[in-house]
This record gives sequence, C-alpha cells and structure tokens, in this order.
Amino acid sequence: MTVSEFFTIASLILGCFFFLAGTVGLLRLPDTLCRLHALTKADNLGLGFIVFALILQSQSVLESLRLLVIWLAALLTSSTASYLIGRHTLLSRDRKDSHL
Amino acid sequence: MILDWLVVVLLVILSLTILLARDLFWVVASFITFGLVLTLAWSSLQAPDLALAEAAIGGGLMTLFLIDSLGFSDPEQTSSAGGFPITKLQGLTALGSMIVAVPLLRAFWAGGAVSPGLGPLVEQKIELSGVEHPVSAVLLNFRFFDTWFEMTVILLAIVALQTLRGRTPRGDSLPSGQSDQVLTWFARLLSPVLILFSVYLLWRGKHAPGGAFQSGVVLGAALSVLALTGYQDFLLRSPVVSRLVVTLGVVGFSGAGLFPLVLGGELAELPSGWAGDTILIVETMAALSTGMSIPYLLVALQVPKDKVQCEERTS
Repeated sequence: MTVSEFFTIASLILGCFFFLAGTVGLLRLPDTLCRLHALTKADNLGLGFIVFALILQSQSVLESLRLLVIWLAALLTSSTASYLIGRHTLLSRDRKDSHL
Repeated sequence: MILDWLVVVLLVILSLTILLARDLFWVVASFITFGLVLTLAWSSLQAPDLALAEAAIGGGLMTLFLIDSLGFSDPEQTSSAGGFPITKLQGLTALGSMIVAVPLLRAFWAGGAVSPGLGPLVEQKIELSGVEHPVSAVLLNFRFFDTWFEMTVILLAIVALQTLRGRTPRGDSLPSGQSDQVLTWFARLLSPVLILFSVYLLWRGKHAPGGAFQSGVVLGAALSVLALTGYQDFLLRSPVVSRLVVTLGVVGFSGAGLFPLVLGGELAELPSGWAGDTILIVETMAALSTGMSIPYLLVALQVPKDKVQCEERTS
C-alpha cells in the first residue's frame, strides 16, 4: 500500500464518520438549531475529507480542481442555507414568545 | 451491484412514503429525495442526459415549486390528507403501476437479448441532424414534432395557471422580494455563475449531454434566486416583455417547424445544411423561455394584479 492509498482510505473513513455523525445528529438532536449544527459538520468536514481522498486519487490537475470547486460550492450553499434556516427559527421563536 | 440494489430499495420505500404519508410536508420531502435517488439510478444506467434533467428538474425545480405550494396549503387539511384508509386516487395509481409492472417484471426475469432499439439507426443518420450528440439529434431533429408539442403543453399549463393570479400566500411561503444581507450577497454571487453555466449547458448540447431544457432550468434557477431576493424588477417592470419571453420557445419551434412548408418541404423537416444553425436558434429560444417561465410562475403570478400596476405607475 502506497502512502497516497493509505491517506485516501484514512480520509474516506473520516469523511464517512462525519456523515454518519451528522445523520445521527439530525435524527436524534432535540431542536432545529442543534440539528443544523450536526448537519453542517457532515457538509463541511465529511464532504471535505471525501473530496480530499478523491483528489489524492485523481489523474489530472483539472479533475482535482473540479472536485475542489464542488466542495467550495457545497460549503457556500450549506452555510447560506443554514444561516437562513437558523434566522427563520430565531425569528419565529421570537414571534411565538411575543404571543405568550 | 450492492449500490444498485440499495438505490432500487430506496426508490420503492420513498415512493411508498410519497403515496402513504399522512403529513404533506413528509410527502414533499420524500418526493425531493426520490428525485435525487432517481438521478443516481439514471447515472448508474449510464444515461447522463436523463440524470442531468432529473437532477435539475426533479431535484431543483420541483423542490422550489412544491415547497412554495406548501405555503399555500392549509396545515390542518394537509395533515389529515393521505394516510390510511387509502383514497380512491391512491388505489387507482397503485393498480395502474401494477398493470405496468407485470410485463416489465416478466421481461426482466425472461432475460434474453436486449433489443438495440433505434440506436443504430440514429447513429447511422446522425450526420443529417446537424448535431453530434444522439440525444440532441433525436429531441431536436428526428422527433422535432414531439418536442414542439411538449413546449406547447408547457405554455398551455402556464396560461392555465394565469387564472390563479394574485392568490395570497398563507403564512410561510417563499418570501418574495425579502431583503436580507446574506441572502442578497449569495444571490449576487451565485446568479452570474448559474447564468454562465446555463449558456455552457446550451452550447454543450450539440456534442454532449446538455441542451435547451437543462440549460433553461439552470437559467430559471438563477432568475428565480434573483426574483426572490429583491431583484424582481426584470419580471414586473414590463409584464408584456416577460410574457413574450415566456412564449419564445413555442414561437421558435413553430417557426422552425412551419418554415419548411414555405420552402416546399414537409412539416417540421429541418432544412439540410442549415439544421445545425436552426437547432441552435430554436434551442436558445426554448432555453430562454424555460428560464423565464420559472420565476414567472413563482413570483409574477403571486403578485396581485393591482399591485403590479401600482409598481408600474411609480417606476
């Protein structure tokens, strides 16, 4: 096993761990904000490690760049979406409090 | 192989959830997931054109429309809809699917030689079509007639939806024109990239998976993001222009389909030698109108008529 293969496998396992942890968090954590916290780990770190593993195995620079762009796009959309969901949760919570 | 079976099992579970879930939100969430899993299925069947279309339409477009529609539905009504006992419509759907499934299963278990279908014929005649990608050749030349009337059906659906103009959202629908710094920043960053990507998809359709519809949906996503984050002026400033752009696709197809009659050819017989250029023009028009239809349905139809006229007067 070469060094790059070792790092690929290690990185894939780490990535899968974060995806699994994120999914368990989404299913088990009590409220929206906690679930967001769990989900963003899956998006950022999980996908990050998997993309890193694939870059180690990629054949050309262009392919590596493409993989990197996929990760960056996912980071951008997931952080914006999390912000919007979080803001909506906070705002609707305030609205509920003011009704009481 | 294991992955393929996982996809199949997931598809069955998700479709059961779609049919039987009590909560409408669950139905919508499962339908979106169904679209994504179906994308995986198409790509493992090596049909990148269908995978691309399913990802853009099933994953992106339907998500937008279904979640938007949820905002108009009555939460009390939707939570009791569906579920057991199975309604008549669900029963009919299940029966219909079973009737289709029986011969499919028989063909699957019987095995035997897979018919090559029309593939070789298309390969043989592709030179005449004006494009190099077989799927584009079929969609825009050999079966031009079908695509022409598909465009027309979509336009008719939009015309029918016009009658719902000015319905007011109930509670939590998509915020139209809501301003928020992060959202605006994201829209300004994302939309140029999406527009560029849609042009790339349109151009690519000539020799690789891509083409007018995928390109149109991506363009529509870009325009919808803009329209929903406070840049809806391009839609509302001149309703006539936006309506004209929505009809462009049918105009393009009708033009290219009827023009050969003037030259003494057959209906929808693209002129040989000019086929490639004709297809590019028709595809551009179809992509533009598909792209415009999506924000038009999402935003323009939701603004009450009197409000549009107010904004016209003030601008």
